Amino acid sequence: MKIGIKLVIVSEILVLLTISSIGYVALQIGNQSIRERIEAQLGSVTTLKADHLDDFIKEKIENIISLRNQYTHLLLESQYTTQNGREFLRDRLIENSYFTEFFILNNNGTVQLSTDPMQEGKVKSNEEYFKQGQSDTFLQSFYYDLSLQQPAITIATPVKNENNETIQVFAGRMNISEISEIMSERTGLGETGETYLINNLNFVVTPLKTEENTLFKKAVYTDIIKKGLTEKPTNTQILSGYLNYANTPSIGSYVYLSDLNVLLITEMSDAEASAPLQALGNNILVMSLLIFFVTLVFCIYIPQKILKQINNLTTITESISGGNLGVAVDITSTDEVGQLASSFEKMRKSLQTTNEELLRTQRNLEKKVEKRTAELNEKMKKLQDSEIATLNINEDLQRTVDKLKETQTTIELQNIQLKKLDKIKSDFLNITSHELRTPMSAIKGYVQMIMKQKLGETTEEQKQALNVIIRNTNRLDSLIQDILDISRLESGTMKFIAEPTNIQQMIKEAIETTHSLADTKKIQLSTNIEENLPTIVIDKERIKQVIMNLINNAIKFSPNGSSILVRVKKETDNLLIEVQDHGRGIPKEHQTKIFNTFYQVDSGMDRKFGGAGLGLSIARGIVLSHGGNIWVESSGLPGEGSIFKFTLPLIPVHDLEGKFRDVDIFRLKDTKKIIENDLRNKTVIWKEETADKGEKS
Amino acid sequence: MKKIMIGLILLGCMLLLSFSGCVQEKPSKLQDVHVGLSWIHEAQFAGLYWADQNDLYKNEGLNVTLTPYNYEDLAQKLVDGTYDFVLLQTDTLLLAREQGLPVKAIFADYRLMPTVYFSKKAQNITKPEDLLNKTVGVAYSERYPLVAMLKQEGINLSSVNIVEREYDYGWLANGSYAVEAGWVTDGDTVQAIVGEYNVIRPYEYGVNWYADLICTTDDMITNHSDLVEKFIRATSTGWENAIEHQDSAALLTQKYDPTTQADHLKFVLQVSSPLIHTGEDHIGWMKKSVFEDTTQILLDQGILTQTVNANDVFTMKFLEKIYSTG
Repeated sequence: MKIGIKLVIVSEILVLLTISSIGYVALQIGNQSIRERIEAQLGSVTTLKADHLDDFIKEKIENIISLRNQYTHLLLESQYTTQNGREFLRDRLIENSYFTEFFILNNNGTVQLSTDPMQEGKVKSNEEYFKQGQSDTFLQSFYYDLSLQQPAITIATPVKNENNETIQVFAGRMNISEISEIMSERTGLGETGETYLINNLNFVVTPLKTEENTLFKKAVYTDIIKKGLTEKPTNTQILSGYLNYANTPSIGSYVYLSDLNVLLITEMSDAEASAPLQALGNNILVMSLLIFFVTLVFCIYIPQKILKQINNLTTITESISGGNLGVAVDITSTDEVGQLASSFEKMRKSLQTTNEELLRTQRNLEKKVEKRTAELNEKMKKLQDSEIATLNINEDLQRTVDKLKETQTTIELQNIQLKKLDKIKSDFLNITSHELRTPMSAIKGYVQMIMKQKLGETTEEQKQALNVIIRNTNRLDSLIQDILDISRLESGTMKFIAEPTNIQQMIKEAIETTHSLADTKKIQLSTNIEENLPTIVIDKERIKQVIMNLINNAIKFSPNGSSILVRVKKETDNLLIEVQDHGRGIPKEHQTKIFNTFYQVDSGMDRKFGGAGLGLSIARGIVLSHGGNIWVESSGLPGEGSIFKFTLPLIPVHDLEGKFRDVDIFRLKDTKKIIENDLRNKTVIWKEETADKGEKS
Repeated sequence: MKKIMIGLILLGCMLLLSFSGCVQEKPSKLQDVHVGLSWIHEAQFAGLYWADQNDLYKNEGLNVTLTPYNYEDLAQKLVDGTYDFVLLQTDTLLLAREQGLPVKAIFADYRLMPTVYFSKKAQNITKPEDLLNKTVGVAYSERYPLVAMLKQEGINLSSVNIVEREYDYGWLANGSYAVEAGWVTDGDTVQAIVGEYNVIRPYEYGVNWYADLICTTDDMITNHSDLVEKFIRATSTGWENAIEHQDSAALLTQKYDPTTQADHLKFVLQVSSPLIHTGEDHIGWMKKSVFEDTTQILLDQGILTQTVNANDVFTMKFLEKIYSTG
């Protein structure tokens, strides 16, 4: 849908809504206003008529009373005769034309005198005006007078003598023509409005506008009459929306006239009452249509004018989008659209300028691009050469990797072979140790028997020889014991018996055991043990073995006459045990290695002092199994000696065997790490080299 | 497809028609009501004719048969059950009641006596005293109001020659009688026979009773009050319409007696209307004093031998109910 049509539809909907709303409100207000005006008008007419009738009746009553007084005066005069009385009535009737008859009733209700001689002698004793009129002035309203053959109103008033006794009744009869005239006066009632009277019997007693010959003949039971005769309101009331006697929807006002005993109704048809509203509605409709069509014209014209300019702009826009910036915008107005067109024209000119500059720039760029392209081609060529070189490097690397893989496979095979050899060695050591100890025990037993001359007497030389045998046998036995321990340590079959141990006592036992060896070199063994040391849970024999091993090593490598100090002190979580000697010391580079199996600082020296280099390895394994640590501190300078230290945790370690199995007695893990680090370093170097080559390529 | 649609629409219409026929109110069976009129078919019964011919009776569920007078004892026929309602004159009603017939007036058609005394205009007989030394022809009960009127006026009855006669206004024309009694509704006939005439109306001289009283039995009033109320309501409305539309109402008579003359019928209703609807009370309304006065007149003249309680001869309960409800 085009925007112009949309604008027209939206605008007209808004206009219609506005007009409808205003029209509705206007009609509502108008309706109320008109209704109020009509009701006021009807009410006003009713009140006026009621007042008029009231005045009329009062006037007639006053007339009758006045005439009655005149008649009484005449009657009481001595010259009164019937003829005089008749003439009096006749003269008064001429003066009061709205009365149709004056008559005098005696106390029996018989007409004694009348302006109508035919009425004289007739009996009215049953008539209400006679009955009531004997005592007071009475108006008999709207009855059908048979003598007159028409509806009538009679006013009767008593004629009294000097003694105030009723001697006659003076009556005046009116026909209702004058009242009918009052009621027929339709000023302010429009075309259909009328006023009429209804008596208590629902009969019409004054003429109707639309129907003839209805007096005392037509009984009407419309809602307004039923309501009026039921309520008998003395103030004007309004009723609308009822059907009147002619079945016409009407609006009316009513009031009950108690003097006349009639209901006064003023009514008009709803159609006429609402005619102004209808006219208002028509005017609103006409105005609405006028506004609608005027706005429709504007809604069509103005958007068309605007759209023409917009379409012009659209055409130029399409032209511009097609690359033609040379078409100028036609600016026909100075309004917003004109401003838009003006702005658009500026933009077009700007675009045109910019486009020309762009073209120039494009041409320059094209030249530059051509130049850059040539350069790039050249560089591309070089790059292609570089790629070939990079490919060669990659091939080299691949070859290196292949070789490394082959080497790795070889190493893995060798590793398997080594493991097999290691197992054979362990088995060999184990078996050999056991097998050696048996003959060694026999040798030692027989040598001791010979030494004790249980097999005969021995010479001093024999004894010396035997001592050599025993000394070497002991060394050999010790060596075998160490090998067995190492074997157990290595195979994880070393047994530990943990028990609460008095460390001081244990040190004392170790000192006592090694004391004889120290004596041989006149070395003084002393202890410095902190007091109140706690009892700790350890394998006493194994730890004692460690201490003895350290003391024996200290004795072994200490000069004669020196001293060895064993110190024990409590640290936060550990007991620290130290064995200090004043021997040759251990160089720094050997301090960590001396705990390796079969490691000796100086092979020549160690052979001199004896030992296979297993003791410290065993000691390390035991200490580590207990959760402690062992190390040596030495400056490495001769005479300054060494301090072997190891710790034992105050909190006992469970599963000493399991712990021991985890101990890397032969420091194989360290070896593996060294190998792995070696490999890793080589790989990193290789990767870095490869990366460098990649970057370069 | 089109034919099927048309067929369906027709079928729907037929169903609707048959359904609407089903839902129409089935007329209930009308109750037969027999009414004995006090005279031959005449416009004096226009109110009843209106109710009959405009379905006022039917709408009340009544099938009313209006039977013209056939010189019969209507009160007896009423009691016998020949009629459900009859139209009686006040004197007839009082006499019937005196005789012990359980009949009672429920509605007065003529509330002013229609009996008048005709005379040639030239005779100038306009008031009771003019009857002195005159021959007055009467029939049936027309004597009673005359005597009552003369008494009321203090006229010596012996000075008036009251003669029983059959209806024939020719005697008035030929001078056999100076005055002839009759209903005011005979005025056009008198006019035609006699020419200009005068009338003396007894009610103008204080003598009045009701004519064409609609009567029924005490049993009906007590045990079938619903039926009585329906009949009176329709009759009352019929009379209101007949008074309003006198000419057309009068012509309704011709349905029952096509030989009746339109002008006569119109005249009858025209002169009857002021007597039926006096403007004093509602149509049909009755007063106890009228029955009491009539009883006294009849007693005075020896027609009634004993006083009849006025309360026994009429009831207002139906009229009061009807007019109180509008």
